[in-house]
Amino acid sequence: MTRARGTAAAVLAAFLLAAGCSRRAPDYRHLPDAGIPAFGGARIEAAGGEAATLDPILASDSASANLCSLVFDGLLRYGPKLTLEGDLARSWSVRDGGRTIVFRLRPGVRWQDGAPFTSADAAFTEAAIMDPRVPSPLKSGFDLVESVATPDPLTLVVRYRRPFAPALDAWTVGLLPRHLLQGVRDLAAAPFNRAPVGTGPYVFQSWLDKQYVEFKANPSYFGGPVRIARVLVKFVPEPATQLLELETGGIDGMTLQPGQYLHRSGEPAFTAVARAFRYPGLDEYAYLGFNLARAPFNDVRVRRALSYAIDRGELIRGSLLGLGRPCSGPYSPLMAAYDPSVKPYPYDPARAAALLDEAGWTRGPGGLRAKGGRPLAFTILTNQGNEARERGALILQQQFARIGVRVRVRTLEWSALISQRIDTRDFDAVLLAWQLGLDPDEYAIWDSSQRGPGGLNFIGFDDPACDRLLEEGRTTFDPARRIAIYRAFHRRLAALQPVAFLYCPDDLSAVSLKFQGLLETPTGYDWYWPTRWYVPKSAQIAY
Amino acid sequence: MAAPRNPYNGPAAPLPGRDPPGVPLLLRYALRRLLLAVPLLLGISVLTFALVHLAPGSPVGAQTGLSMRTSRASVEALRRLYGLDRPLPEQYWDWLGRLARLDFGDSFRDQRPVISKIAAALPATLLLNGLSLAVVFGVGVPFGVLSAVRPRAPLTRAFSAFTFAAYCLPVFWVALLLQVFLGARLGLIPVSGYLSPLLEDAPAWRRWADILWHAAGPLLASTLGAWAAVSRYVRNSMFEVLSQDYIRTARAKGLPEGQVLRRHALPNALLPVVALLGLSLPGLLSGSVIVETIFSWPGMGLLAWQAATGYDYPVILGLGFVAAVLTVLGNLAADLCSAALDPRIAVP
Repeated sequence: MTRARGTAAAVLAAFLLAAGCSRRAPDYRHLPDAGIPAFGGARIEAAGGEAATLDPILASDSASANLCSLVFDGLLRYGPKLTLEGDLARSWSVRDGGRTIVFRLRPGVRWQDGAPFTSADAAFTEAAIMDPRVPSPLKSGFDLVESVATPDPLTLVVRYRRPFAPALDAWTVGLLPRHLLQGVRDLAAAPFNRAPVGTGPYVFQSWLDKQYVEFKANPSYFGGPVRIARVLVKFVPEPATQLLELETGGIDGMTLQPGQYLHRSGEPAFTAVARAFRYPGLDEYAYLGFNLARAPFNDVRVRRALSYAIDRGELIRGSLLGLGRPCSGPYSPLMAAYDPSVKPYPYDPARAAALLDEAGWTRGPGGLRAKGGRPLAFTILTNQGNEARERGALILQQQFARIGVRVRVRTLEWSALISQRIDTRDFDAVLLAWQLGLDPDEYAIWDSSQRGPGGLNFIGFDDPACDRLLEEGRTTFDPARRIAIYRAFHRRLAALQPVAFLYCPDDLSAVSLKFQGLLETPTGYDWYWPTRWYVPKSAQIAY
Repeated sequence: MAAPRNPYNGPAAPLPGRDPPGVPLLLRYALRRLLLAVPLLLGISVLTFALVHLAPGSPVGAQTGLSMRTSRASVEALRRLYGLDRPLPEQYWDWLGRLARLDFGDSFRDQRPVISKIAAALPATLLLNGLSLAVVFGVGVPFGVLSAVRPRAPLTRAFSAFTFAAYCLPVFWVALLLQVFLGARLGLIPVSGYLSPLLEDAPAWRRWADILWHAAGPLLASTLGAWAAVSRYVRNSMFEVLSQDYIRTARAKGLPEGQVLRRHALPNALLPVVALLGLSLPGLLSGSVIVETIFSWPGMGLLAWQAATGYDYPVILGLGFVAAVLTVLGNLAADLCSAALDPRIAVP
């Protein structure tokens, strides 16, 4: 039958065509021109979540914030030592006892459409953030602004109602072009949010829905030449898919899951194309928060006992496969505010037992501790979907059982946990994490004024000494004095253990070997990457 | 793509009444069914709205969570912005009013109109599911016939064993295996994605070839399991037809076996398959969440996943409503097809 033969031939042809299209996985280990800077090439980064907006004052998710940082610059930025340095501002000075900040702007900077950048743009951005119709998550950083003045195009004078040191951190926000956005009625729905214009190293090119966002190098970037010609951020929701894409050259970088870091980053398929990085985390710290309004957590001896009963090493092994570090206070150990002399509570069940005995919670029949007929039992709540935390809660349950404390574990969907338990203060203990900024001010979490409805101090922490330190920290601009204040705050929190500080998860990532010029410091590998990284000619794939 | 549903689950309603002068019977039937669909869709809209709002949590919580930088005042402002501070019936009435004007509202996530998000997701899903439907029936029907005609041939047995094994495997696992072996190890298909980035400036044929090439993985993942069902339908239907008297007559009068099959058996055996195809039509437009998420295929399934995890009420409601309308229309189309093809159904 000729028809059958024809079909067979067609199938074969299709298969050969497919095979012809197929690509081999690249190998970047031995580039002939390694170390020779070149212009061109592309960086394709995988993102597990799709950005919602490219407007820096509206970005509330990390996917959006990452993209915004390609296109926009702030007045200030953080450097490898995690200290502030000038970005669009050349210098700044604090006057008037901290009530006035004067920024001198970098001359000659142009927006990507050619218009000059001036202090009016910075003033416009502040006004936009504080506009009641704009749902910006950054308002708290500008709440205390009294007035913004622009005496000349390169000077910005911001007056505050009270001295407010975190204001400098707030000015790291990407600045918006006034000439393009003035008069736009609804900033939240502006077309600009999907086709932005900034001053940054990359110029927005295109956004393909649920696929990728593309940028090309800004030839007139004020920070220096940008060598990598194109940057794409590809939306790949599945971590397993991301890893396969990395190994086949479909992407050049991703965040690794702990399992991927441990079991895959040493495989030949991985090492031929990429390097794995592991850094102490700067993003968050995990804690076991106690409801301080409830017995037995209103007794500091009980809280300290529970903290001594936690084997943090076992906890980190069990919930993060060991890829995290214990922390003793509310900061990442990399931050200057973290007092390295404060050690995490060591695992010491004998000491925990002694403290509980002292507090009157003695072991009864069956080994369970009780006081006045009331057993020492409570519930740990955590949010569903975070495997590390769900496992962590079970490990804590077992560790507390060893000292005669009975714990129940309940996992709740995130929003339900917030609205039904935390907002109503209806909980014993929660296993959660706080996201960290690089500024050490944690007034919103710990100040006694923040205990009210909706405040973040939902554990009900109330300590006049801490309140004083927090207030002092907010009004002190001198970096060294500020660090001393927050270290004192750290020490006091560690002694009181209003929460049991647990660990900071490590930052794990994979980066293609084709990138060269990396500036590796103790805090990361991608500092200043737009002006430092390049792809040698031989690794620039022609499409 | 959705597995083809059993055509016998919803027998086509017999056409009612006599043919009045001027209005064709089929048209009258179609109009009546369309009118009946209005209360049905209203009911569905109430249910979807209630279900979405009954789920614990809220879009504001999902966006702001417990963030140090977000004050309570701005959370309240967000709630007011989205109208979430008003009573549910009022919100529903509002939504329904806009729906009547074909306005699905704006996404909470990025403030874009829901309709344009759906429009952007539709082509990818339509392409994948269209191909998938073609492959499922294009492979399933011939093998169904073959397994009825030569039930003991080795090829038949191998195919049956393979498809039934594939039918039993979870889709996400098959998808992962395809990615690992065909994608990463052999490099025959791309691991994921839709259009290779950096190909935007390529000529149109090159881009289309690239998209089709990317479709191979999701296509295989979504069709492997469906072949078993279709080939079984065809096989059983074929068995039934082959035992009929007119087939024996055809053979008795000396027709070659090929002609007996092609001219007499197949057309009759394919009737239930047509119904099956009609019922698969609504599935064309609703993407598979699992396949699209694993393969980063930018279609309706991925949109649904994004909307559901981000409490994007307007998008969830919009997708739900579009799916409901399409299902009602698809059922109607399937019934009309059956009625048109099979006189036994059309004559009351």
